[in-house]
Amino acid sequence: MIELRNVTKSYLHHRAGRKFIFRDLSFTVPPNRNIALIGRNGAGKSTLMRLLGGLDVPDRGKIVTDKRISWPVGLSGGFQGSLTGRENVKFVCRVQGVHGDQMRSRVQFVEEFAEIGEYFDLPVKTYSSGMKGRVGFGLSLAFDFDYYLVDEAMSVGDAHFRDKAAQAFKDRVGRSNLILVTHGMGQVRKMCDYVLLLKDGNVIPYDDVEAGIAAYQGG
Amino acid sequence: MTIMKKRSSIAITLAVVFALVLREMQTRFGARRMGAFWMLFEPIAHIAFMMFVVTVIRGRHVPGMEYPVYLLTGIVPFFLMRNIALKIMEGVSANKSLFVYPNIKPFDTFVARAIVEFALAACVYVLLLTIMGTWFDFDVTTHKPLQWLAALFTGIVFSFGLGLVMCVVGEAFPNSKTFMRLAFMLLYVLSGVILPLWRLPPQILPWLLCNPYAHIVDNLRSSFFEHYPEINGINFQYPFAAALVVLFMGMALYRLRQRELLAI
Repeated sequence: MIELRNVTKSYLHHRAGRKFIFRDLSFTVPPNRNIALIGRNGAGKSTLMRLLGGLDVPDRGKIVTDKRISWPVGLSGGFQGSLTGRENVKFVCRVQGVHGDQMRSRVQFVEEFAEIGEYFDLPVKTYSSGMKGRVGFGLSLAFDFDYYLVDEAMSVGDAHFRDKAAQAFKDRVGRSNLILVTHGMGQVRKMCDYVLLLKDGNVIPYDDVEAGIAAYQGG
Repeated sequence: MTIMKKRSSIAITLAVVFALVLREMQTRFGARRMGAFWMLFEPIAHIAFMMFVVTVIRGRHVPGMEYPVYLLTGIVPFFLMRNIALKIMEGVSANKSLFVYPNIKPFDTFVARAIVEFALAACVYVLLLTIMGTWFDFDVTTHKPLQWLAALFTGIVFSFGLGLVMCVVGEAFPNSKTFMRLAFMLLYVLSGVILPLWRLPPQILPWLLCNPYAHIVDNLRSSFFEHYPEINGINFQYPFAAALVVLFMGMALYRLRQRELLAI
């Protein structure tokens, strides 16, 4: 279960002043559901995701959870450009306290999942954005989380890789759940069974996916 | 894949610091062809050039000591202390993207950076002293090693605390970083790294001695050389007290602003 209690979040911009994204937002995410976060551009999807992933902290209020929530899946911003993909993956393994054989098997998993061939041993700065996304995606899947945060990362790579990624999440059904931020309603129907619609700084939960999608498309 | 087991916080911190040190080293080594060589050569070339300018071109000397050794024993520790403070100041902005991974906290990057700078400076110091002792026949033995270590330790703690303060201030007011960087140029001149403090007019000495780096650099030298002129007012207590105060301030500020530092 993930619970938000009176969360207020604003950003200060030196020209625009303080912009509030959420004021006293409270809601509860029910357990064992795959959640879709939908809303128009600027509704606060990314901010909410950053808060959930612990990338940012609310001004006031609390986010209470006993679940392990991943960093945004497919994220490659943490990669050091001059290091190889393998070295970057090893770094994250070390940080997560994975050593020896465990580390080897996880690095191998990422290597096989990413399917970028010899580029895995070349500096990350030589990668295309798709390749970076593939390694980042594999890296997230190499660790077990209760919730995987996915920010439209399913659009990483080509059709073949997208299918593979979707399959990887299907394999984890029952063990892990998904929090998907997307504009693609096809993905919502395919992957999720619970909708959180963001609108004017509020979150409206929909138990029924179709009802949520209808509300989103109806404006 | 097995479920990750819970680790103690100290185990997590050690693992993170180790990973960060390795990453920093890999990055610096791998950045260029022969990265390891350049990493050491750059500071050595800088220091050798300074020594050449000051001793040969300007013809300065200090009675009772060999001037190149005198310069080296001040300049390498001072650069170490300066680099620790400045690298920690940039620690958050340079590693911001890493804080997405759980467990990595800004403080870990500070410790890792201090370790990397220390290792680098230690290599440069030992290498230069060995070269000077072997081929130039200078006397390069430390007169009071333990006292020297105490002085260096004080300097590192002071710089670490100062770096913490500078980092928190610098993140809150990004423009202030430029001034803090400039301030270290000033400290370089005012800490007696190149010119002995006793050469300066005695009336300004009390003002200069407010600067803990002046004490630290002088303490390092008085521990290194057997016949080192004593300067009134230089002591071990003042820089150590300053180090503790600054470290406390740095930690307190860090604690207060931890959430803001972590936010990407």
